[in-house]
Amino acid sequence: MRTKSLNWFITAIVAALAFSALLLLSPSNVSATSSNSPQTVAANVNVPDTLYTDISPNSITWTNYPTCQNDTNTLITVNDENGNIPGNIFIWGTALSNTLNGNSIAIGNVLWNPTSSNTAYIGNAVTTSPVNTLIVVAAPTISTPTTNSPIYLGVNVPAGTPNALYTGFIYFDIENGSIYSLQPSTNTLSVTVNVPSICYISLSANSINFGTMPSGTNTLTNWNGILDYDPGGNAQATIAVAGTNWIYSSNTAISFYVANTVYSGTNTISYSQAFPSNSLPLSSPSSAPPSTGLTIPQPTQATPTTRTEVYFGLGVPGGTKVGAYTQNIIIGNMCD
Amino acid sequence: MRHIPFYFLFLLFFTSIASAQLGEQGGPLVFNITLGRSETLNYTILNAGSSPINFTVELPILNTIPNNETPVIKVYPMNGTLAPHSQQVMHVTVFMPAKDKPGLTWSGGYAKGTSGIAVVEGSPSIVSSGMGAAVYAAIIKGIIISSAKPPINILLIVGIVLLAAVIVAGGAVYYYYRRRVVAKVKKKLRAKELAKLKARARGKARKVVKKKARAKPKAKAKARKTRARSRRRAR
Repeated sequence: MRTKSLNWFITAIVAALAFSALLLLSPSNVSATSSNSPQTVAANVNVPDTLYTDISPNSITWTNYPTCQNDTNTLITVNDENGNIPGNIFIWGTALSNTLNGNSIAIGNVLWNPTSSNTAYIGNAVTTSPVNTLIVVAAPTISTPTTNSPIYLGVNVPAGTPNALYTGFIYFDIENGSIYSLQPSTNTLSVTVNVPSICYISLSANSINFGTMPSGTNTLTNWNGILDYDPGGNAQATIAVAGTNWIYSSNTAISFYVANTVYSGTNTISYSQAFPSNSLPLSSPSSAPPSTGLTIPQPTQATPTTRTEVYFGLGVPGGTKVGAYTQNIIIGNMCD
Repeated sequence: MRHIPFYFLFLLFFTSIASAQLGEQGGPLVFNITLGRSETLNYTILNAGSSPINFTVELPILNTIPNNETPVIKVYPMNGTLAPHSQQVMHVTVFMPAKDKPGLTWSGGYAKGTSGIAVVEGSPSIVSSGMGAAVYAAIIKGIIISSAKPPINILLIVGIVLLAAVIVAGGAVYYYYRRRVVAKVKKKLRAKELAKLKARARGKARKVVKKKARAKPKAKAKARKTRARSRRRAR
């Protein structure tokens, strides 16, 4: 019985030693324990198609008047830094708005162009959804890790846009099929448009025909109206008028006084009601037209052209020599 | 027909709509000028139309203020051509008379009978040889001018204060050293006087001693004589 137990004990020790020997002789333990033998590590990485989008500059400010456009020449450089495939520039944006006055400049007023236009506002409208510009940014390589392409922008300020600062964003993305730019990408352009106040003037006619009038008579209630327009400004204007003396066409030495012409904001009064309080003052290079007190309302985006009619009447002094006479009248808009 | 000589013919020029689009930056030009000085401000005019616009400038009419000269206004350029879709900066310089009072205000375009600076399409001061009334469009810039006192020259005040401080400090230093010098001189004089007094006192004392010294033998002799006399009497 004792011998049998000893045999079991010896068998167990032999088995343990054999197992330990096998473990020690396994290849990993051999390499781990032999410091002088060569090591081999199997490593692999999968590099996918990659794009990044960075733009420069990141903000721009335009100053322009309503009804005016900037040339499409503001350069934005679109970079792919550390990507590895070519891609096309996509562009989209938000409306440029002013939260205080509640007005905005639609994003379609911003144009993009692949080339600079220093003389005109030409190109393609930016929209609220991404549009493929077909401008290609080449694939970066290890030797040239950053590639870029230019894109040019311009803006049109719609008629009647109030005087204020308008801000919005334009986004750029380099894309290749279904591959978009990875984050982090600095692809947002902050856009500010500074719109100063302005008034324009345009008249419905550049002459007045008073017709044939006997000397010593006046136009009575037959007023000649001229429409004074502000086409596309953004401020109220005050109307001023002045004129020159009436000059005889055959002899410039013969004339009658400018004050015989009168103005009125209404055509329901008679000439005698306007004379002499509303007589035209004399205009010359050293004296500009004084204010009439009449105004043209402020144009808005909804009503981009406003107008006021100014009426003119004439009294011909008695004894005035027969013939044709000429006078120059100035109608001016003073921008408030 | 015989009434024809009493009639005038005011013939039609054109009836077409003027399409030019002359514009100007809004708001008045506000000057605040020191008496005797001038100031220049700029504003922009523009042509938003597709045709060029020739323009001429007419100067403003300002209100007058009794016993004060009206400021002189110069505008540059006085005429020119605005290309389509172009802008032009107008330079306005106002010269403020030196003899005017400060705190006065002149304006053009805001009161009846006054006017701002007019930029007129074409040349309306030249009356054409045609017939009828030719109408010209203009844009007018309102103008407000105030006269101001010459500003206080801070540098001058600082200079004056510094000069006063230097004078005061210099005076103080001068008097301080003068007092010290005077005190020294006085001290010296006092010392001299004291020395003199001492010397005099010493001289007097010496004289007394000498006198005493001289007086001693005499007294002794006198005493001796007195004693001899008394002895002789005793005998």
